Amino acid sequence: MSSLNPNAPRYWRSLDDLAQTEEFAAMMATEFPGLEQAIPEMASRRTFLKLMGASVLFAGLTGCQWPEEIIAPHAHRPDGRLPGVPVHYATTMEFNGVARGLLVTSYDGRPIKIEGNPDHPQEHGGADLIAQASILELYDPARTRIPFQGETHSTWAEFQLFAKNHFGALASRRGTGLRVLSQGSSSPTLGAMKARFLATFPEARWHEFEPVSRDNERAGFRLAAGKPLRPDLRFNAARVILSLDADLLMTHPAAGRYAREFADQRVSSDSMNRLYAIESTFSVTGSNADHRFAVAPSDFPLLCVQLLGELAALGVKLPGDVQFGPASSPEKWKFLRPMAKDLVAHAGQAVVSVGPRQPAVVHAMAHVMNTALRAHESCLALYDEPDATAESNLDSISSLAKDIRDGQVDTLLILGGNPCFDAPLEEDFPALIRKVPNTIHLGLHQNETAKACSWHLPQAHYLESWGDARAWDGTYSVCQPLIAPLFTGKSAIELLSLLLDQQPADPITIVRSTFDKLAPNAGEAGWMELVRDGFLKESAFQPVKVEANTQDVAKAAQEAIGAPVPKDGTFEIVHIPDHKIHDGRFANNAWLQELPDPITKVVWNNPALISVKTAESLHANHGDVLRITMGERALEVPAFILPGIAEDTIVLAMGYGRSAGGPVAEGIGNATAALRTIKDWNHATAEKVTTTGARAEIVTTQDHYAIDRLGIAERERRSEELIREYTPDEAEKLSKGDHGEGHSESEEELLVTPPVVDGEHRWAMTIDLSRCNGCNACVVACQAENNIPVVGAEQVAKGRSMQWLRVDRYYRGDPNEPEAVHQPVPCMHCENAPCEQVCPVAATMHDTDGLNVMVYNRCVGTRYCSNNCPWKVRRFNYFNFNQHISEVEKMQKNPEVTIRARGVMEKCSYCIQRISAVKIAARNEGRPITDGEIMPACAQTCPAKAIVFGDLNDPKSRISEIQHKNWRDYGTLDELRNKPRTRYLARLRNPNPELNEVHA
Amino acid sequence: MSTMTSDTSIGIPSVADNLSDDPRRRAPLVVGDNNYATVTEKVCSVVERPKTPLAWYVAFGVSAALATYMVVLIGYLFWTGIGVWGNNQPVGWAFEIVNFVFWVGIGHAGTLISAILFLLRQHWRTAINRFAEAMTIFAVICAGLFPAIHVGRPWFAYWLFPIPNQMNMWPNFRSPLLWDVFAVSTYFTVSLLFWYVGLIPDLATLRDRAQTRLRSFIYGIFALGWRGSARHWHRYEVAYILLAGLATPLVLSVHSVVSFDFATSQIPGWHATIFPPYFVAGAIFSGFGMVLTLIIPCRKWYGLEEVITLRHLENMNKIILSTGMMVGLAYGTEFFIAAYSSNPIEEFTFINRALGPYAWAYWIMICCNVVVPQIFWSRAMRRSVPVMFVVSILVNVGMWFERFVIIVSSLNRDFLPSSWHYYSPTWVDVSMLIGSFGVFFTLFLLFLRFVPMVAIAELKGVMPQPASTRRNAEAPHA
Repeated sequence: MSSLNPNAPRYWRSLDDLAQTEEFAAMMATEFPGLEQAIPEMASRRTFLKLMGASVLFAGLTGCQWPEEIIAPHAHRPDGRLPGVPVHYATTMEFNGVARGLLVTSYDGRPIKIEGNPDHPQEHGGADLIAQASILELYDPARTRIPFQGETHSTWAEFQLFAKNHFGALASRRGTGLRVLSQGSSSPTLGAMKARFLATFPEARWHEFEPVSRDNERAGFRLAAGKPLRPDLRFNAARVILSLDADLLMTHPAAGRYAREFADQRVSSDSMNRLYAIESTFSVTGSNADHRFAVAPSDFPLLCVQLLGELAALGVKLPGDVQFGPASSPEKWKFLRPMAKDLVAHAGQAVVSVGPRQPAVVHAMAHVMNTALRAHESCLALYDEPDATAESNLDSISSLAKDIRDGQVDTLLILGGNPCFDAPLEEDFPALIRKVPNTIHLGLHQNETAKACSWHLPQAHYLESWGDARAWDGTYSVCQPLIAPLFTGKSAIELLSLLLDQQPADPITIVRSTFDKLAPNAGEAGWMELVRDGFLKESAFQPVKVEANTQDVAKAAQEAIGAPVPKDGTFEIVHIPDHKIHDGRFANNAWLQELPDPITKVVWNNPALISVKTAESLHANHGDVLRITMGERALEVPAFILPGIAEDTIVLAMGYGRSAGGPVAEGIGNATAALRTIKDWNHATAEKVTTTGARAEIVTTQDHYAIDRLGIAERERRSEELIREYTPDEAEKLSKGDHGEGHSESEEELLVTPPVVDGEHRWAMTIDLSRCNGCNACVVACQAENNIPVVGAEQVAKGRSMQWLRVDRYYRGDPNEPEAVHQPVPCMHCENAPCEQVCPVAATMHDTDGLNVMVYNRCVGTRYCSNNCPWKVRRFNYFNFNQHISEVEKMQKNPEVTIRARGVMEKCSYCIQRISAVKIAARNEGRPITDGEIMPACAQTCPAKAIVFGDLNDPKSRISEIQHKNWRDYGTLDELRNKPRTRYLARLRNPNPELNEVHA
Repeated sequence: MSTMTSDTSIGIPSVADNLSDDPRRRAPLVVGDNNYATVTEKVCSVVERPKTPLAWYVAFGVSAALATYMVVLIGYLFWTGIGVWGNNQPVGWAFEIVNFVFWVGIGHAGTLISAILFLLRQHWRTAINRFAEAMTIFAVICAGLFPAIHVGRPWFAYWLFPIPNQMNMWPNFRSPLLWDVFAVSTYFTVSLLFWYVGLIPDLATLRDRAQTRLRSFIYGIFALGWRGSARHWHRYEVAYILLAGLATPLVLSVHSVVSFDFATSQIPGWHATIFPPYFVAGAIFSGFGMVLTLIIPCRKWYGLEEVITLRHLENMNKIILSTGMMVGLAYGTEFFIAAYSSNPIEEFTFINRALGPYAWAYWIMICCNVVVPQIFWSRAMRRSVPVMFVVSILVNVGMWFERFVIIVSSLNRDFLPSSWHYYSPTWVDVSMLIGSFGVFFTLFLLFLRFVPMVAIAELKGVMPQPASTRRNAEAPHA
């Protein structure tokens, strides 16, 4: 069974396989019709599995998503189908209009785990935390199960009846009064449906709205290049990267690929790139930068002008020979000149990237810089945006609001999204929507918008539906269902078909027709290839060459820097998408809520992030509630002191404070959307911020900043030992020495005889801290793979978080300009394991392959092992955390991993179930295990490929190579002689020597 | 009994107190106008009183209520899970193990007094040994409770015992927790035997003095047919000295083994070779503290001041002073070794103890265990009953905090700063500490009511013999 082998995955099986079961299908067709009612009822898991088994099988055979009539257990086992053997299917998750190529593991018709599609040009096998957690969304028991008409339960048949009459009447009026509001989408199929829709209803209008969008970037390129463009970085060609508030490694739509390409350039002193990050918040990208500078949002235009001035002063010819500003840097930006020198010295290999929050003019100036630095030659591709003429998200939602206010809207169809929660405040959507006589909302959850609409229809999850989308680089990716809809949901495509067609078309047919238009010569074989691979090869956008309208940019820049600056005593507000729940759409996902934020380590909350100095000036401590006043708007939110935030700046994550949308989402965090108006969309100024005197508990998984001085000093001292860091110069010396510090230890005799480890394999893991950027995807992957329960904020506050793998974050240096470093900590699988010695019942011990294993059945729960673990990687079930999971959630559980009982210790097992699966398969096939065939969940999902796992007994394996020969190899707490099998590769940093002088 | 008449002229000089040291003769161990008969009467009357005093009922009512509360809490704990406590990651052990070590420590004084002082012929022990042994047994019962209930799955706690089973699965003999099981259970068994063997002659006395058939029957059963013959006495004394010899190493071993729970681990603050002697000294310290706390009110209420004299109390205070300084020396040594080792993690652990988030607990410990006992350098203080009562309570508070400091402050900040987490007890933690005192006092009050609290037979052995018995050479059993 090679199913767990990422190199040889089993994708979608060919139709031939399935076609062999035609007689079976015929037999089924006449038996037990109408059993689909059993699906939502979920009578038993056994029934469900039967249903799903048949469903998935026939999904491919008949080209129909719901083979409702054909339901029964298999009388014969179809060929190629082994119960209990997982199969993998490629599919696509579209998020914010960008496709992510995924590979989904399915057990007996039940998708349980998501990985990145290893062949996809964007993902390369990595998956970010949102993709990882979306499997839980599929099984979310709070998802809408049936259509609602107002508050009352309804059925699809009733809706169809309503739609037939209503949309029939609308069609006869040419769609007057009809409006559609959809989420951002790059789906060519949805685009085609939209065209058909607008053809049927010519008077209708189609709006698109995403609360987090790249509007400013498009506007910036319109200004600088005359048309909206999509910049795509090529890290492998870039030596110097300047990020202006761009979170390239975490929240960027192409972060998966960027993280990998960036990391590839960070592992050797020969190829080291250098990353400068200038930002107001503290992003994951900032934490990985060689130099990071905190700058208030309002300063960015001026800073860009200054930088352009510096570039010009250094002899760089700006296109059009336009002078932007003075070359002299103000005192506070001493770093600009050395940085500009560095950029100029690497012209042709230097690139500037701007984050979506920055105003258009900053994007435009960056385009000028990139043109001047010849970035387009190698390290920056520009693509034409596919929907170049589309209006901006804010304009679109505003014009819709205006139409509703003017009484022009009679029917509003909302395809996903939640404008009642996240639309600009002044439009007052919750009230506005109620003015529309007919509102139809399609969504996964009964959220704020759903509750305001006259119809709420259950949406099919992307794992339940056919669809397509384009990746950041334009690669056409297809989305195929892994399971029949659990809750009668339909996708946006199906709903549109239901409204447009007399006889609603099968979604597979609709997607297929899009594909046939895209690749007219592909035919059936091409389609099969597409479905198997998940994407269409060589369908990416082609880079375009553009010039820069420097004159216009310079004019806009002068206007921007002439704009009034925020007065002293006021505070700037930055609205960022949450690292985990984005704009709130994933707020009902408990894995994401409980996942520590990559930087703050806060769970289940979104406090206001302020710098140390700002906290001092506000006399605010951790958890002190701040009152932020902006005109008539005010928000009370607890403060969280995060070193490195720009001064007098308050960073607010969106997506929290939901009043509807599921039991997990509701009432969690602070409704920061209450401050977001069109003018204050990304950045704003608050005239007054005060402490209210109230306090709120903010739960973190790692001790936050406000601990005693003694602890802070010691933490800093230890973090330097735990996370080794070298500059390229040091690296040069060390790499030529005798393998550096990592191997300097002598093999002294131990007083005790360590257990003999002489099995066939010696599994080991290395985490490359140069590659790891701290994104936390591994933590969610581990949670999904190993059935790790969610414990809730209260338990996390008590220090009972259950995640087996954690990512430690330490700050270094001046708290006003700190560096952050990340270190994932799984079980070390020590050869001389301290936990094993102390367990009185021998519940944790070594197996022959040298794994430190837990015998859950034997564990009585003395917690002694955890006390004696220097890394504190063991997790104890203080309660029965699996007691209250619903039947639907149970379906997500990995059948290969035990659900742990109350009172039992658990910990990272190196995904022993995956090791066993490969071992068994290799033995059956009579072959040795190949290196890289076994991938723990964390290693598999890591976008930056920071985790390497393998067999030390195989001298040719990558892990042997790394742990025996790489000079960067070291173990944490080696002096304890526990001989950890999980080791680290030291982090390389590439600071600009000139800048260090400036700071010194 | 008829031979034992009150006859001061025959032999026993009446002494008002025994505090002054006259180098010409040993200070008497029983003062006042006492002889064999009065001693028997004094001790036995406590348990023979037909009407139980109201104060006993009140005290027993409170204790039994707390003990019942403890049972309810254990039920709640078993039903819900260990999470009702404040324990967390990294503090896997907290109140429950603090309480365990605290009670085991208390249990030390008993065997020390009965066995070691017996072997060393310290006759003054006879007035307090019964009392101290009873305290030991009840303290060990309280101690044994906590490890049994602290495991995540208490219904499998028996897996810690090496019981032959169909899986051929044995406990891990390398684990100090397993050594604990053996050490504590052995200690409990030997202490109980020792106590019971010592009780046999006195139980026979109670049987003989019984006014009702039921009393006579019950005490008769427990007296195991003791008739006081010379052969009985011979066997008894051989058995007693053998048990004393057996118990003596246990005094040192049980707390050494308990200290191995910590010393053999690798957590800084736990991993220290000083732990066994340090724990034993601390245990004796706390044990004597507890004996004093209990004996001071009892000798007053039950009119035993002439048997448990001020000299006894003063001797115990001297032990408290000396063991308190041993403990203080150990605290200092830990700091010295941490500094001398140049191990930065070890150094931090101890600086953190004194100045970190649990500094308050550390300084409570230092004050109670090191500073307060210094008052006993003064003879007047050593002989002041109110002072020593307060000191004895503070010693127990201090010793409880010592275990808290060792366990919690070491765990809450160990190797990786990312795991550091403060521990706070929940109401269940605090209630169970109080509840364990309920269990202890319930048992202790039952002991006071039904068992002679002073070893009558032994005490007579250290009293001057009256002339009549000298003539008859009769065993002083009644």
